[in-house]
Amino acid sequence: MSQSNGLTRVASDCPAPTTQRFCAFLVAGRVFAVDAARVTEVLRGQLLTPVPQAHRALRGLLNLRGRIVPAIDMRLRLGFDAAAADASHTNIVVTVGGEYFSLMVDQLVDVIEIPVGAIEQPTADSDDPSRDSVAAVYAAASGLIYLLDVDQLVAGISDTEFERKMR
Amino acid sequence: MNENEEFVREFLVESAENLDQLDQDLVALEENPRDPKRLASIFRTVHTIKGTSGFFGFAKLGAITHSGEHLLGQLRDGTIELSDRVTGALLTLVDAVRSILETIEKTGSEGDADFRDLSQTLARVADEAVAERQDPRRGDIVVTRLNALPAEQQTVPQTVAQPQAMAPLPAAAATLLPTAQSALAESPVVEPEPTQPVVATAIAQPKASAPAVVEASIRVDVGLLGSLVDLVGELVLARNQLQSTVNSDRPDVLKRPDLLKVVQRIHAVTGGLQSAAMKTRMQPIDQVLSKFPRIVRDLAVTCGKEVQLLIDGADTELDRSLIETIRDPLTHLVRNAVDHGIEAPAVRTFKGKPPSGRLSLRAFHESGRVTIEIKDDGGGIPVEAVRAKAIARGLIGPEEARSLSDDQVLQFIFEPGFSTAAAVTDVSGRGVGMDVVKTNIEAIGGTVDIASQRDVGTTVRVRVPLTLAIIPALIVTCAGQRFAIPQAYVRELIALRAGSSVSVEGLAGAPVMRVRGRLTPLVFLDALLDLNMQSVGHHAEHGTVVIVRVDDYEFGLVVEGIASSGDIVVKPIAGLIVSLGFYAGATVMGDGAVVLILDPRGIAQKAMIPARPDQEHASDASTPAPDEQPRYLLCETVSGRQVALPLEDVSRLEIFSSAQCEQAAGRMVVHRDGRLTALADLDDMLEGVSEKRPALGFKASAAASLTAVIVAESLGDVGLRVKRIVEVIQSQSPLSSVLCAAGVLGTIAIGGRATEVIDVRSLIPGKPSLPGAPSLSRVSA
Repeated sequence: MSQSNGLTRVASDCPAPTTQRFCAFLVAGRVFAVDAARVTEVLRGQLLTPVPQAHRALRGLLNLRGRIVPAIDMRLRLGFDAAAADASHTNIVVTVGGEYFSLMVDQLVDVIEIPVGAIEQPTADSDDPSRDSVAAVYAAASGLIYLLDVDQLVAGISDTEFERKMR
Repeated sequence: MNENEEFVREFLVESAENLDQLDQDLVALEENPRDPKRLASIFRTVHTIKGTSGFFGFAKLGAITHSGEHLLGQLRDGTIELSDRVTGALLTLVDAVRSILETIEKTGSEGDADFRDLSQTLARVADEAVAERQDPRRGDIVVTRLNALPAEQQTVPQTVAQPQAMAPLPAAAATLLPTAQSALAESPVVEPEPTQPVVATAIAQPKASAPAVVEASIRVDVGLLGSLVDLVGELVLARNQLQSTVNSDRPDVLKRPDLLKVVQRIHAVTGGLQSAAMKTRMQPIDQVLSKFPRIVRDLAVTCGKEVQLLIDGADTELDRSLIETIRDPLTHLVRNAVDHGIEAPAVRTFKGKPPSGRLSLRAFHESGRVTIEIKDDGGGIPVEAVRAKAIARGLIGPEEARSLSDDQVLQFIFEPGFSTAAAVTDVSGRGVGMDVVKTNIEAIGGTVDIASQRDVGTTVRVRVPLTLAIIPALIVTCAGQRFAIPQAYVRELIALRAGSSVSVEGLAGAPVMRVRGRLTPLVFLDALLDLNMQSVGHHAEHGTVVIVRVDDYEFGLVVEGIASSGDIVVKPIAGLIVSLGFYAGATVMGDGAVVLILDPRGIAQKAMIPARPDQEHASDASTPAPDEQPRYLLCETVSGRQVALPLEDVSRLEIFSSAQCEQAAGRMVVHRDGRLTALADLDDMLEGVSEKRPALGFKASAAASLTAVIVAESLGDVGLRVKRIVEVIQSQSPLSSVLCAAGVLGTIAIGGRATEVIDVRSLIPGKPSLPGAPSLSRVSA
């Protein structure tokens, strides 16, 4: 019933929809996106409390109406240079295993509908440092959009500065 | 129709609670078979279920409870004696009732299960028990029945006088009516009584107890309660922000005293709301522990053991969400203790122990956490077998195994699947799923410790935090960042000054400090957390040392300074931050900023602090140190008198500037972390108590600052003004209560000089002023 590989894969666990909603944002000039269903809200700049000895991409904790939410600097997480100190950023709050995390991105682009059939596997020969969390890519008219695996984004920062130093 | 469903739901909820009580009552009854109160309570519960099931037309439930009631009636009347068989049959009844209720809850009907066997068993048990007693005693039955009935009738006159009782309780009346009638019909010796008064009795019984229950508690949806607590949390933050805006000395705000008044009121109300909301989350651990008598009894019977269960501290409160989380791990540990820990009676006798094993469950608050101790006097864990197993499984090499202490070896039982192999039984079987226990407890930030001695027994200590609880904490600063340290761990604070009497020494490269003659290791927080690049020792000339004690560790945490102290709301943090090992949680400060709560236990481990060599505390770290000698705070009153205050009555010491203090309603108060604390001069109070008049408050003095001893929270929000704090002492000399004046507990010898120990409790007038009592209003900004 379906011809392309991509369609078969998605159809098996998600029968009905032909498009999937993603929340797209800019990090270091590139467009990335996460599953919109995982996004709970988007916030402007927030006061951050640094967490000493945590992974350097874990920029700090923010107070989301009394809930403590760790903020992940997506530039550092995806292997880019840190943003200028005065650069503005946007927090995209996502849920991972019942906990909330905030993804600090340069700028929110839009919520986009991507046809599931057009989602492709990332190229294997990519030497991109952000590869570990890029689950798929989508070639939009405006350019390539990297689709990120939210769980992997968080899992990747569980080792700590302290451990690294002790090794 | 809907109404009926609602009644059924209520019946199910109530019965579920009653069944839990029944489990406990039956097990307790085994201990004391003739306890008439227990028997009456059991009888009442079964009777209620029977009656209500008749009303709703649950025939099976009615039939088995009827049989059970019959059996219980005989027990109550003394016709039969309680035996294992009777208890067993009754417990089976409880299980059957529970299963029917579950089916009703799921399907709305009783289901297809057949319980006629049970009814027959119950009847047979009753008959056999009667048969065991000789025939002549049968006469007793009639006599006791005769005695029982007049008592019921005695209540008639009072109850008839309250006919309005009938109106709200038609259900109870309808169901109890046939029972009352049948009870009469069954007793042929008794003269037929007019039915009406008896009905009144039946109605009046629920009426008598109903109002108290209805007013004392209502059922609230747990989800609703949770969102209430969340909303209150948000309100508190908004309140704090409002307050800091108002307090920012903006001229436009200062021109509006009415606004300040409103803010003050919102402040007070929010504080009260917060503490009330937080209390709704706390529940006694009894919710878990109360299930254990039944579990232990059943398990002991299955395993052929005799076990005596002791439960202590069932009223210890902790967050409801935690109660659910610890339920399974605790059950597992209790099962382990009975199944594998306690030996069979014959083995115990052979070892020279009493045949019946003891299992004690103890819950208590300790260092801001809840500790649950599961202790058995069984065979203990054979350490050598564990060691061999660890080697066999390749977890450690043979040499390494020899170098490990027994305690370290015991930790292997927490390894996943450590004892799922055949060797389980060899290794006493402990450890089945111990890794799961540990994982579950650690997931909520708790710890599991195990100690075991061959043939003496095993003690497992589960420590869980009071997540979401409000704890007093010290807010310290280090490299410009704030951190919170739970006060429960803080022993004392020492300021480092150039040329001060305390000094930092180096001992084999590790900095230590001499605190009252004892070398205390130091941890520089900035170095530990890599907060700046400056060399260790940077603070040697200034800064503050927070002496922290946790478990067997005592060390000095060097920070830049103390920002404030006060109650903080502990918020959970992401698992990946907890696993760093430095932080126990986080809190949100008044300005909305997040502050990390340090975990002294983790810090001690990260900084590789050696456990304290002395055994004073190490021997039994979790016992609330009764062995320790009492400690006193020695201080000098304004008039120059030297007095001692029991340290347990002291919450903290603070210095206030006179600007912080205000005169309100003839009393001196001070704003402290968002609450009002009444200040009183210790001299005045001592004078006042001897003249039998309360002396809260005092005339403002010209001094720029004043030192106050804040009394323990349980005594109220009161600060005692003193001239200066001398020191904290531990007194070896006994308290002598000869010749003591009012407000004085007695005297102790300090440095050869008799010093009065103040009875702080007696000084605080009856009901201490609450923060934000209406009579107190803000006078100045």
